[in-house]
Amino acid sequence: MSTPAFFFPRSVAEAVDVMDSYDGAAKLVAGGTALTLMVQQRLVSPQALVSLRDVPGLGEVLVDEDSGLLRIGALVTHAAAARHPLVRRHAPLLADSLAVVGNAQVRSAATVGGVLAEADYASDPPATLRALDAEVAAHGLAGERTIGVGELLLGFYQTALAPAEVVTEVRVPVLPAGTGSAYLKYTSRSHEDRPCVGVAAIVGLADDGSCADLRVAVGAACDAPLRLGDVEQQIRGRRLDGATLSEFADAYADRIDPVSDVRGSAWYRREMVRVWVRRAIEQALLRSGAHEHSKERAQ
Amino acid sequence: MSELQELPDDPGAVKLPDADGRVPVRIDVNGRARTLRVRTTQTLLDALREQLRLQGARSGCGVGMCGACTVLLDGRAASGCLTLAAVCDGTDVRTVEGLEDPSGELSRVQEAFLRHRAFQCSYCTPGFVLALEALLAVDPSPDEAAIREAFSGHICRCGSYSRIMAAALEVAGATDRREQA
Amino acid sequence: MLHCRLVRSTAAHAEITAVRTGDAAAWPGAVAVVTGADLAARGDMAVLFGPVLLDQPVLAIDVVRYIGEPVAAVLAEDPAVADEAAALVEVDYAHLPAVFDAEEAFGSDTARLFPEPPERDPSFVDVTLRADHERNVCNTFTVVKGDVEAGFAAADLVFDDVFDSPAAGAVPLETHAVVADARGDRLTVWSSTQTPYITRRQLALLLGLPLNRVRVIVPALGGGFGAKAYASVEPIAAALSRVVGAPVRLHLTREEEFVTSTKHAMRVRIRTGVMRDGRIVAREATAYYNAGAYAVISPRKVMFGAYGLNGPYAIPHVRTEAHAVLTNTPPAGAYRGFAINQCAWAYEGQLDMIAERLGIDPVEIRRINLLRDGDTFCTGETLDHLRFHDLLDAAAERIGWDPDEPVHRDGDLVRAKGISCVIEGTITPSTSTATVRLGPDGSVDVLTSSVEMGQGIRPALAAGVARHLGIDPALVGVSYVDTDLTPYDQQTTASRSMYSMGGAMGRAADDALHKIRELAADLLEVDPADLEIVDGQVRVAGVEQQSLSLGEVVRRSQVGNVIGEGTLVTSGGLDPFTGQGVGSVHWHQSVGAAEIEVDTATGHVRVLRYTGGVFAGEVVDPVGAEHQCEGCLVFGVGNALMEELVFDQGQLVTGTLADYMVPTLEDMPRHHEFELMEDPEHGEVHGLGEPALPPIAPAISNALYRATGVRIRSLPISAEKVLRGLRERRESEQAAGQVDEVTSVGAQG
Ligand SMILES: Cc1cc2nc3c(=O)[nH]c(=O)nc-3n(C[C@H](O)[C@H](O)[C@H](O)COP(=O)(O)OP(=O)(O)OC[C@H]3O[C@@H](n4cnc5c(N)ncnc54)[C@H](O)[C@@H]3O)c2cc1C
Ligand code: FES
Ligand code: FES
Repeated sequence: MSTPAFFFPRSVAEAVDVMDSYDGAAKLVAGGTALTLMVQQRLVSPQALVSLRDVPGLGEVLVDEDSGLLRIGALVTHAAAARHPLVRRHAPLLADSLAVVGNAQVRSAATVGGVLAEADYASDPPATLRALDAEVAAHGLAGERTIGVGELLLGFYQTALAPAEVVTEVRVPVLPAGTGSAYLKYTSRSHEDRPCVGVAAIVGLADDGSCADLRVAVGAACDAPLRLGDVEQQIRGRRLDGATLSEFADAYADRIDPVSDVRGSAWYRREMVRVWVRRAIEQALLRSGAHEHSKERAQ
Repeated sequence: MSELQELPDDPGAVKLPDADGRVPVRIDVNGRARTLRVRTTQTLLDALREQLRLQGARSGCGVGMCGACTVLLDGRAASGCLTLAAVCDGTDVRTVEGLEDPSGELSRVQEAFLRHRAFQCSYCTPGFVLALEALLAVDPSPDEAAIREAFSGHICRCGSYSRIMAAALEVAGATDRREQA
Repeated sequence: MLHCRLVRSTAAHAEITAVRTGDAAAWPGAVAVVTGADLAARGDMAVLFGPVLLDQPVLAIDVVRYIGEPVAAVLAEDPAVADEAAALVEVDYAHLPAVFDAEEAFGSDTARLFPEPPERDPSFVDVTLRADHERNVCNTFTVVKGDVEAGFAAADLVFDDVFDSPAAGAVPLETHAVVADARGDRLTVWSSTQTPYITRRQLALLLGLPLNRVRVIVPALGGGFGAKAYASVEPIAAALSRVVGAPVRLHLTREEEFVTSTKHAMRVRIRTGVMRDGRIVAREATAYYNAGAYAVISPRKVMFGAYGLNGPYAIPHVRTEAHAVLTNTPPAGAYRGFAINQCAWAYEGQLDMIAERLGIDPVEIRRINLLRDGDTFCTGETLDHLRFHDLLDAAAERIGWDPDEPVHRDGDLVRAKGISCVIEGTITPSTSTATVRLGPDGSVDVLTSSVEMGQGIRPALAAGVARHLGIDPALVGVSYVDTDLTPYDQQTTASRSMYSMGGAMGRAADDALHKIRELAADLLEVDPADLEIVDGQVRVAGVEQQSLSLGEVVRRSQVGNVIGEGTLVTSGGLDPFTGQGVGSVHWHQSVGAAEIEVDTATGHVRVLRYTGGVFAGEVVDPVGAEHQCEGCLVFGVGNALMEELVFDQGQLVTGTLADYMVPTLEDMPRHHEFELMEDPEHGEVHGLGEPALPPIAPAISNALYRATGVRIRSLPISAEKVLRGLRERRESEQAAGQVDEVTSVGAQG
């Protein structure tokens, strides 16, 4: 039980090297909001702590015009990302989901890399990133690779990252103009609780008002964000009327394998998935301009 | 871009703990350069309280939920219990003890809290005060929503919320919502 | 100074078969590792403590009775070292049958917490024990009035329901903290206790010291709310300090705080007989208070818990009984609102079910039954100064009560209002003493052992004394507690300080003024009877010019200072078999009205508005009073909607503030307002620390009932319970079609 050594590497490569030299017994520190607690509660007893603080280049937000990717450095804090104009323009629901995490102090320290690497099921941003088809760039001994958020988040606190792999960037395909999106966080107890259920929804409508694109990810209700590609597929081309939304929400509710915890039993979570999937899509529709659209049609 | 980028003069890339398991950390605390010897697992909160005997930041929960441990870390409100002291090497930390000016005069926010008697046991008070100071530093006349946002993560178990809001709104120059009601 | 870290039990009920401390003791920097057996082996101290029963070991000896019980202590100069070493202590357990639910523990054949009944603390005299340790009962209290069988026989309808309140945490933002120094045949303790004098007595008994060699100093507390009422950490620090011969500091973590003192979980079966016109004619209730593993103050709590079940209603035939039952959960202690929250949760909820069934408006059924001056309470006391009707009418008006339009709908959102009324006593008998010291410069010291924990007792006492002496409150200084210097006070709990300490203080001020008058008479060479004291000036009646300030009298008569002393002793008490006698010197009267909004798709409830009304007698410190009421609202909203200590086989699941929720700014109603009804003629100052609390949860629940017809019978009103209730209701409505709903009474929720 000796005190861990502390490293401030000045490059990603250096960080990877240090991590590797401890052979799995070192821990990265980004915002430290989760790690500090794990260390205090002795959930982890690392031999070394490796702060990413002095690694340059991990704090950028930019849009890559060629690839159409919004690129967010792993060290960008929730607060900084949530108010960043590029994030708000190109992935507004991501800004929304970052803005409802915990409280102001947490958001000003916690990073977008950290929240993914932590893979805590009771989180908000991962579901959004899953719905957005985001990927992460990770640097390891073998160099850089990209991993889809769906492949990254394996289960409770489990990721596909190797022990000496550093997430450097989150890459989000920008939403096409006219797309409606929303992230709704439902807290069953205090307003500042972690989510009981969180739902990210992205809707694109065709000119005839039918559904051209529908992507929905449910977070905090099971081990990792849930997306049902086949169900999304079935809805495409149809009109998103009440019955269709119910059918869609029911499919998520029926297929999820929900957790039970102090924020709600498995039964309750399933019911909340039913409610909030629907509400998130409705909200996304409102923001897509479909609202005006459907009003016109109704007349 | 990120607040974490500022490089200290000498980041001391590796800190190997000495026989006592401690590493040196240089922090500007309330305007004074200090060198602390901390355990690498120690929180900033514990370092301030135990090493520097600054008791203004307090432990209420130890898990980032209550705000009693709030300090200003390079100007922004941070939870001392969620921050490793070792990471603060080269930063500027301000606690409630450092809010008064050299002549001993309290800050505007402190005065307003006193005027409104915005506390009961006052265990939560430094946290609320610093949260508001941090907000005012970036937004001199915040609206009620911004203040509420800044007070997220701050619990007042005694239930002084109304008076805390009244004090904050007064400093913010907004109208007291009690008067509106 | 050494820091203490406790090693706590991981078994709910077990024999300790081995404690291995070797590795911990050898850990670099660890100064000592101490177990319960070590303390017992010394022979120079007692090893059991408790305010009423000596049942709680300082550190567990042979047996552990709850998960979290202190088993061993590790001491080191560096708290981090103590932490590390504590993790190295290994304890072996042989498990014993454990029981967690009070009703199950009551007479359990399998689990028995104390094979031998514990001894009593000899000096705790005002509680008569009806303990039955063979049945895990540490006390029982019964209240009988009229002929309850006859009452039920005469009733038109009988309602029979079970209500539950869970264990909860008081969650003072500052956890328990103590420093004890037992060097040199004395003991000095800096403690966060609400009961300095009881703690002094307990510590003296523990270490075998005369009272005057135990000094308890109490700085301002970061909240208490009852959790710090009775000794818990103090005996540990004191005993350890004697062992190591150095000052010892113990400051609990939040996780430890949660298992140190809890609000009693309580289940009550409540039967109420009513006439069709709404009159309540009979009530029978049996309550099981979950005392946890040790009695602490539960033996007294059952008294409040038995008469409290009557509520503020004139019921002719009553039999209510409360048992405090020991279980393998953390000890329950005092808690804001004492036992009354749990009682009100049951009877006010049931009353709205009765009202609905009878087709009577909830406000109206309360008007019909509320106690009026001259009515006899269940304790046999004839009550006066009752203001319930006024409080109720005013609260109904403030909330905008409308019997004809109770519910508003907007999509999934439904809004409605609810109301409730509560009666609560204060601790009787009780004793407070105070000293008022006038200085030659006109300033005044008040010496008191009332503990300041944020409730504002110091400003309130300063205001009271200033008013009494006719001087500026800025001239009055109120002491913190130091039992070497500040005179006796029983305790700072049960909202008693304003009445009791305030009363003692008034007498001390009068005593000082009496002495001032004598001294001034000498100085002015007049008869004391010719003097009057107005606005801090002593003067010959009618002669304005000839006046002396209080300070001048002290200065010119060269007495150094003038000391006034005052004592307030209230007497009374109730018979534990019949509940007859004097329950309280005055009765707290409180009404609450809530407007809530429920999301019927999720079951989530928000409180939009809350208004309360309390009979305050006289308000001494309006800002402080406002604070106390808002504090009650935090607790009420928390208890109603989110606070619960969840246990799994005795293991606390909600042991941090990330798992156990308390209301934040956003969880509080956007609008709230309290009326503090005054009656200066009445001449009494009532404490305001608690009375506003008990009506809150039932008012919220009653609003939900009006909004949805869902009756929640177990706190908290979680969104999940509400949703289940809504589903069950929908199903039973569908199944029953138009059939009369008679059978639904007592069956849903
Ligand atoms: C009080 C509180 C409330 C919270 N409420 C919410 C909430 O409502 N919703 C929600 O979604 N979350 C919530 N959280 C969780 C919070 O979002 C996470 O703690 C945070 O996102 C983690 O980010 P970090 O930068 O602080 O990570 P750190 O604590 O620094 O690290 C977390 C883990 O990820 C690893 N890691 C960090 N960065 C990288 C990287 N770049 N590459 C590889 N591994 C890395 C670390 O080694 C560590 O294991 C809450 C947390 C707290 C303390
Ligand atoms: S102690 Fe840090 S937030 Fe509570
Ligand atoms: S004043 Fe006591 S916690 Fe806020």
